[in-house]
Amino acid sequence: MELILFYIFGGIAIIASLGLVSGKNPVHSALFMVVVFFVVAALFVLLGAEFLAAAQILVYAGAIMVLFLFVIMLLRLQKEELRNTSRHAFFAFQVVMIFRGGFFKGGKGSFTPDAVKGFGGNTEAVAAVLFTDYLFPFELTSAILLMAMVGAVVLTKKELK
Amino acid sequence: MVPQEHYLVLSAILFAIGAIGVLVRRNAIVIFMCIELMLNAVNISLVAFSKQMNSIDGQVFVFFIMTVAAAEAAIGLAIMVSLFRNKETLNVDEINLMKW
Repeated sequence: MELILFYIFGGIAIIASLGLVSGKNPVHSALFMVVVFFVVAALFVLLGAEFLAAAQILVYAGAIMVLFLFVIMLLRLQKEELRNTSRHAFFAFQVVMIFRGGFFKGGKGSFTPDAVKGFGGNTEAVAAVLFTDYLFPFELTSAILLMAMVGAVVLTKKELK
Repeated sequence: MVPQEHYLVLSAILFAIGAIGVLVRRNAIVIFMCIELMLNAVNISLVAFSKQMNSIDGQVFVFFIMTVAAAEAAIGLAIMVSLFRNKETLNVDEINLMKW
């Protein structure tokens, strides 16, 4: 059952990402991107990461895609032609081959499915790690978001006085 | 139970499609979306590893990647808006200000 669902979601993800890459109209690409985000959220649920699935839908499909569509419609873009692809596709293939072999070998952690259940669920387990071991990086993300906010305002302001 | 390799292969395929998109497309916004696709592909394999290793750290990394992706989207789109205001185009072949 899980395997069938995986193949359905994986197939949708691949088809939608191909549509994203090959679509002529940026708005179509953006809508395919929404499909990919939702399917990746579904895969997160299959993997038992419910918190990330919810965050994926809220952050990506909710916030980032709205931003993309807003900018696309604001800028009134003309249609584009694809570049001469063969050389670039070869280069992309090389890049993929570099990343292909890096299989990670590490020690097993302590968060077995039963241990996660003991915490009260996936969200609680993530919180238990995030607010203890990763507290400082978590605080740093607030600085990143503040910088992004200030930067976006500064960049799009008409004139600085 | 899905074998972990399946997730890694799917992740690699999505990453490859994203990489090809970055190299083949000309529209800066579509290139940007392809970068988001590559980030998502990496997220899939991080969560898959997190499940296989019985460790939550992978999911925490994905959380941070999402945060950075949101910040990056805001900044990147702001850059594109100001670029479009100056050059009237988002075709990356015509944006060669930094090319010597």
